[in-house]
Amino acid sequence: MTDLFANLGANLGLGLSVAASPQTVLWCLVGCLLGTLIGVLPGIGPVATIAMLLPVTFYLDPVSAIIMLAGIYYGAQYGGSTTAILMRLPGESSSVVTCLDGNAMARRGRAGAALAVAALSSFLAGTVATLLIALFSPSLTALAQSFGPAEYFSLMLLGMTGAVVLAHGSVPKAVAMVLLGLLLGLVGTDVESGMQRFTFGIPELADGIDFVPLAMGLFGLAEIIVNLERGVAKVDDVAAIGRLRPTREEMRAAVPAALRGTAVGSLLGLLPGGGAVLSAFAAYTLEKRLSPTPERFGTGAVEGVAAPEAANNAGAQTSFVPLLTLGIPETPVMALMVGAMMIHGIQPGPQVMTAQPALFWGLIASMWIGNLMLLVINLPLVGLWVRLLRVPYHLLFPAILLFCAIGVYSVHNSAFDVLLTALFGLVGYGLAKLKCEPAPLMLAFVLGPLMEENLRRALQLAHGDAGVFVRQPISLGLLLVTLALLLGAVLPAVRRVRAVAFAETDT
Amino acid sequence: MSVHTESAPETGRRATGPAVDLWAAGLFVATGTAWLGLAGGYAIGNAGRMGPGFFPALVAGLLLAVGAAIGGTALARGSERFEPFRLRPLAAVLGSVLVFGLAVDRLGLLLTAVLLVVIAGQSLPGGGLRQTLLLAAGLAAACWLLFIVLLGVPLEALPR
Repeated sequence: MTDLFANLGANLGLGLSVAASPQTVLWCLVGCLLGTLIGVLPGIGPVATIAMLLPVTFYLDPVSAIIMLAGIYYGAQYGGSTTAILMRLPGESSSVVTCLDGNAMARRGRAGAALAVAALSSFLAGTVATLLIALFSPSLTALAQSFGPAEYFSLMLLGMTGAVVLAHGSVPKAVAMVLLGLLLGLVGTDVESGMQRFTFGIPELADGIDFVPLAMGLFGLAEIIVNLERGVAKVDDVAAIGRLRPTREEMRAAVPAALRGTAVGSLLGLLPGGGAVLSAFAAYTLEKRLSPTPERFGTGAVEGVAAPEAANNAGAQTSFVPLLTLGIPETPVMALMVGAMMIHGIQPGPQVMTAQPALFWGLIASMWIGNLMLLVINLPLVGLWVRLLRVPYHLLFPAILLFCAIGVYSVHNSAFDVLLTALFGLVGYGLAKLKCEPAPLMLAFVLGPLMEENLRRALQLAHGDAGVFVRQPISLGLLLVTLALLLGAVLPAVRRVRAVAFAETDT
Repeated sequence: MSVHTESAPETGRRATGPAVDLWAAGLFVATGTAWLGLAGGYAIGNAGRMGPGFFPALVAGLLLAVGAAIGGTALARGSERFEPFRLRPLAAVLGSVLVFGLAVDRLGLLLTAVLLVVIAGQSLPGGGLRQTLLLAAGLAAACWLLFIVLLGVPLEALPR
């Protein structure tokens, strides 16, 4: 045990030496600021924000780029909470719960306190979750090194099932989105036979569909179109901020709530499919249950801000664990991270920790630095972000579009990618109209080629005997969890709970 | 995601218009069929030695089945209806990005940026042309400075 902590110290020391270098801190800062800048815009969530800002990071060295992306992610999340509290406009689905009591506090003139509690809870959760990741990643990585193709295949199946179960709306449609994503991921040259598949003779598609145009189209363009169609909330709805400092009573209620939220979020964040929405909701429900005065919830209870914000940030951190240790992204945001790493020539997986310890521990340390930065820099800047909300949307969105277009172009200096973005924008809009959530598609798109490869190798080693998946104990265990998740989603009792959960978060 | 497509039930309007789930099912069935057909053109092989067509055919077949199931459920139990479409934002946003992609290699960044902003500006009715042009000029200059001068993106600023 002492050994574990000694290693932890050494590893975090290495990480901090990377992450605290002036250059990396600078990029982390730029990431946090840019992420907040875009994330605070109504209706643009973390996935769209990261998709839009991805090209910016391609000019950096891999370590700085990944750290900056992590900063963008935290910034985007924080920006979402800001609009949730001030405008009752969640920038992302995981801050929907924050709307309930956060905006109620704002309407009672405690907007500043709600923002501060949200930021402080997030920081607390981020610190704890970062430590947890640093503590447990090495042993998970060791486990992952015993994984063969069968285990990897089962693990990816589990990840996709998680994405299906945790997606909004209908389960069959989410399954269809996963399958659609797998198919899109298979476009391009087959590694084994060298055959070009589904390229329709277009030479640009020989290397497969690039994931930047896909993400930017599905999430960025489609969200802009839907926002324009629906009309954006009036700026008069922005609540005044007031004093930032929470009162002593508010702090006393918020701290234990934030701690419980951290525990809930850290656990649920590990779930395949990413429990960000679920963890925020679960933490909120838990607080309401534990509270001696549950009737205060919804009217501006500070616990109702602290717990879900902590849970959602802790979950955001721990969702890095499967990516860093197993190389399997479990959420759409992590799928984007994989894409970014691959563009920089890093193949995510257990080997990252041993082959590139500076990157691995630097990223973990920068998570904490990113959280600190959000606290120190964003909280005082909150007035600036609010002023940004007052910029009329008709001036804002052409700028966003232009940055998207240039960004996509600059990844491969390819005008074709820009055209592809427009096409996927159309697809994303159509899917929104068809009430299909694009997140599972994105995840499956990244996993598709990996899944095929591992299925192929597993069956090749077993001479075509599919029984190999249930004979290996780890693979069997993963498949059983997958089955339990699927059954859970279909069983009427769980379905009701799920419906209630999403119904409440959608108000 | 941040965009919540669920909306409060609109009583009285739900019974009209095409059913969402039927269209979704149609899309899935059509895609599944098309990809199954394409995959059939590649070598399938067998489970022990998969050809390039094996996995795609498997996934496309599943998509076809799931699509059919969604369609069947929608026929049996009904489905919600489409929210109203508005063509203008869709056409303006997609059109502006398309034009950017088609023109940027020929016209250079500055002109293309102006084109994008002007076309995108058509998505909302009543934006004054003067204001749009001012915005376009400002954004084009800013992007030139940021992307070409500072970041060194290999893009021409002016038409070749």
